[in-house]
Amino acid sequence: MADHDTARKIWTHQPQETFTMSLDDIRTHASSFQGRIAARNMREHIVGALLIVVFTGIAIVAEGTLARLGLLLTAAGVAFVMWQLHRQARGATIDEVCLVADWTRFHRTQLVRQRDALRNVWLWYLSPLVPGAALSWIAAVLGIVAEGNIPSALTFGVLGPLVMGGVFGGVLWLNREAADALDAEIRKLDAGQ
Amino acid sequence: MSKEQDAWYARMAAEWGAALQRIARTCEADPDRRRDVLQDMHVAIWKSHRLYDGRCSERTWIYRIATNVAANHVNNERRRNAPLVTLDGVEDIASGDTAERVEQDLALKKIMALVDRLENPDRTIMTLYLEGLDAAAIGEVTGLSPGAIATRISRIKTLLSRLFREAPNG
Repeated sequence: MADHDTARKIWTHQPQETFTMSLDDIRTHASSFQGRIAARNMREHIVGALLIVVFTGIAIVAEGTLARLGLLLTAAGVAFVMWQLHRQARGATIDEVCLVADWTRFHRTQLVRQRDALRNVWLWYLSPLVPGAALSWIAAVLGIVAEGNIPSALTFGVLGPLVMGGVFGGVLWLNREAADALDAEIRKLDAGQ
Repeated sequence: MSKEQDAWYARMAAEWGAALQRIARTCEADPDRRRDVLQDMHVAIWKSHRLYDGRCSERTWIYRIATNVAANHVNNERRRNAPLVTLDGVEDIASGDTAERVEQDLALKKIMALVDRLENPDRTIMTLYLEGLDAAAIGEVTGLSPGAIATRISRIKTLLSRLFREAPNG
């Protein structure tokens, strides 16, 4: 017997684990397909909800219209990001798994969706946070100026955008790298056909 | 419709349950998470009854769904795992320290070690090949061209031969 036939025989005769799933279990799970992804996203949603509560709470007690507006816009930005995460970071739906004709098309569709989400992270993940962050920064600088501490205002005025730009730039870069890796995988998949 | 769906699913589960387990094993090592993947496969098959129109064989249908669920799982989870390689890049698995490791394992573990390292579509093709599907059937499931599959199957055969030859207890 050839080695590859031996391998096939070993493979198909491998011991099976005990697995039973009643029809009731099937029906229950059918409504929560891809439950692990939902659970993972749920953790992100909980963190997001907490952030929204914290920013809104601080906005209520904050002094100055500009500062309040900045905090409320930040809370709104976080809410938008959470909604987008729910839309874009999901796995395939059960219909997508069943409907797509073959593995290659299914796999490619999923890769493209993930790549596009990563490539557009500036649009749906970073941009929504910019207005709130910018207004909060302006309010903070103006507050320091009002106290007459010009050197601190200048320092904060310069360092604030630099730090924020660095963080946003880092997030953007990491996601671009991941998107490029997916792009390479898509090209390889296309070439392999 | 529901009774018909239930009966169809029960028949599919009885006939292909073992294959589903094997495919789930190729995409998840952790038993609890593998159970989740397997549950997803069973649910997808049950739900797919309304979509199955008989234009392909039941075997092709079941393998498509199972490999789609597996690919979806790998896509979602792999970035926290070790990088995967193609059949070209896996050549070194059959030599060096990996060979020493697999020599001490059972023959199945040797095969699993190979499958585990493969990225898609090589992983899917190798899994389907090990399942006993021929090139035409693999093409039906994956949508890849016969030429692409033939090339990979040739490499898989070479790889398996090397693996078994180099492992003294294989």
